[in-house]
Amino acid sequence: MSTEPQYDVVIVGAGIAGTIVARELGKAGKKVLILESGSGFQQGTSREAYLGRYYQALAKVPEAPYPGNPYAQRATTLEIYCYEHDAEGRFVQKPGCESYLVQKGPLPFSSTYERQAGGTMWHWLGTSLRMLPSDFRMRTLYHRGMDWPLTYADLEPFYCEAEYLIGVSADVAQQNYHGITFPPDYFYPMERIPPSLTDQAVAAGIQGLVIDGQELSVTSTPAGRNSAINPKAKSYNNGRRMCAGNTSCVPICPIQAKFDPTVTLADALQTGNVQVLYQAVASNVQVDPASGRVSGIDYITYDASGRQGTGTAQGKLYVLAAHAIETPKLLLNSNRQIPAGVANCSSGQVGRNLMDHPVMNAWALMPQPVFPFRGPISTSGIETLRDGEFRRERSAYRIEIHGLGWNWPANAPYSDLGAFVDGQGLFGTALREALNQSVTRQIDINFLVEQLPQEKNRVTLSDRVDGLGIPRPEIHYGLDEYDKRGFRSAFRTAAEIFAKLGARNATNFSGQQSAPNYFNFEGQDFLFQGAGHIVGTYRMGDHRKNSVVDRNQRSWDHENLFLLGSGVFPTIATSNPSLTISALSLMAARTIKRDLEPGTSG
Amino acid sequence: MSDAVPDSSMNTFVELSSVLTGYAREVLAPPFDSIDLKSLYYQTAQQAQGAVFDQILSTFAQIMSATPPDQWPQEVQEKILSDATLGPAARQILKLWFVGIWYDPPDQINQGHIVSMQAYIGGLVWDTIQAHPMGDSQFAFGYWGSDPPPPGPFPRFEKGGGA
Repeated sequence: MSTEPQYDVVIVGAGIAGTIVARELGKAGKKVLILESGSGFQQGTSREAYLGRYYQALAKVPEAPYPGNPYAQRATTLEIYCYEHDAEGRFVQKPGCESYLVQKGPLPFSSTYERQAGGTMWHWLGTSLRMLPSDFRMRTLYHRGMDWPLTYADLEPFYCEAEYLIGVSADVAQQNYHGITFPPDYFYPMERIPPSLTDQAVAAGIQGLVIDGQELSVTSTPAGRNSAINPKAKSYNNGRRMCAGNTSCVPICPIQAKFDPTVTLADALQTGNVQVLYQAVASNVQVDPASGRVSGIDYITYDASGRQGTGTAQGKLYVLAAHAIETPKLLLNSNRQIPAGVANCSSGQVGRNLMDHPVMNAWALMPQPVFPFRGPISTSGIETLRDGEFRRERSAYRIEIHGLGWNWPANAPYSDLGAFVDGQGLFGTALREALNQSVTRQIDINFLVEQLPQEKNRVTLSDRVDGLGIPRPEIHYGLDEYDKRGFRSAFRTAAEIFAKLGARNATNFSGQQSAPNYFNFEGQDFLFQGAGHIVGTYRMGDHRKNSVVDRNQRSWDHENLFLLGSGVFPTIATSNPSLTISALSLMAARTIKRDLEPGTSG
Repeated sequence: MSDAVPDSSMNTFVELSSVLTGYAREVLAPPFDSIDLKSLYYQTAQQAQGAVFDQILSTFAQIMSATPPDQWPQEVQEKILSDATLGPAARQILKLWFVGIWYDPPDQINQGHIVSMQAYIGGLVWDTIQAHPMGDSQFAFGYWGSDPPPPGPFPRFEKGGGA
């Protein structure tokens, strides 16, 4: 095409990374088109409809509120149970059960995502932890994984900016552990979220407990949900309500006290410079053979009846921000001109190093009521074991103190009701007392285990296709010994914590050999869960041979192509990724703006 | 909806539900009952259980007329819950009140459906555990840092009953 592109930048994906970049560019007067594969969002009515679906869903899983559709399919939690381990321990698909992700094992990739305006952060928990300075230097410090091509100090200003963009509630005095630094006189826009009764009981009860040479402590988790405005930030007002503790952060905040990317999307649209094409599925990235630059993105449109048409979006620069499974799928599917796929020639790393925080639930019955099912789903954590010399040998982890009793590991309170009514025949006053006595004492702590990058954990193209005829993602995934040693440590740490609390440890993974998410490590049974943290499949690095993008998140192979989101993380660290995605997106927006300045070759 | 159900049958259903759930009848059938879960549950059970439902109600109507209220739990245990046919059906109704889910088949909690949005929100289990339905808090910011209010009233006739 010889005509001047209509847009400065074409973005694929209206999630957190795409909407942050659109917002920044729109404010700077740049013309932006976003291609969003899923449906749009109607202020007010969409949230109500989603909430209604959630209320009426038997399984209150992350995808429960969101309808999904056959033309922009997404991974779902329930589909993981299309797989199991057979009597010989092989990972097999159950006959007649279809999963969008074509999983090849040896374990299932257990995290999911949404394809709709606002993206997967519709159902994020709100956890807004920064990475630790040591997390950026895993190879140097612990001879594991890979160093990031940038440092904590490089990212720090963007963390600060992201904390104000999202609206994070936290107390600096509690967050400066393991070398985390803040600018002098920095404060979060809102005060920390008040600790729950469960948090208070754990904090008081574990005092003096030392694990791996470090004394554990409970800290309020920085949260992208509204609290009281920090008196020092008098002018701060994001226009949303304070958290009312609806206890459904995952999968939906009924009052939008929790940030989600419809906020940044609305900001972007408000600039008048950003357009969104909904139900437009990017299917191919065109590359100009002479210059190696991306020259357009082909997309397919659809409506309720199916495929509608096709188009090609053109800009000066291109941003792929479709999360860490759909982005590599799109790159690999763009193989008509380049057999290896776009952005993949130099390194061959596109789709590889897929990571998650495999989660170990640990649950127990406290000696006293701690009243779960009240407040945000998690308000505090134990961050002490996110770093230490042990990282040479086994995974680090953070411990999230959960607020839903045994809901995650054991389906409380439904399972309790079944046990007391159907099992024991209780009814009336005795039933009420039994339920109250058991459920109000339930505690669940979740270990988010740092998984190392492995090339063989990867997204490739399946020969099976979706409703538009686009190849579906094929997933190869497993845990290595280092990760499993992290689980073994987590199991022991949980036992020590519960013993110190005087709680009856109920954590038990035996008898689950057929479960898809079961593994045995040195004679011990485990189950793991997905954390919803999809990471690593187009990692950044300091060399084109070992990474897909450079420290600016620019493709090594195509200078006008940026890849955003947690796919760029070389290692997953132990922090929930959304805040780091946001900070990196703000950083990339600055680079993109610079590229678009007159006189730059953008 | 409630027009379709004779007052006496509804009264029997509510009193039985009070015995099964351990909640005072004012909780199950408030004086100003705009949500009217009792009618929804009556009809849900009646449609699904048919003659068994009628038999549960007639059995309990006999209990009501023959014994004082403080003996109803014992009578319900013996004549309804211990019965091979009526027992599972009564437990189905009990669980419906607690979580708004019609479990089918009875005596399990893995298969069923939430009968309405209001049924989910109105589930008694949330009050029993001194919490609120996930996704529907009527409390204000920070409430989770303090002890919850006590659960709702027990039936008047029960030991430890309220009011």
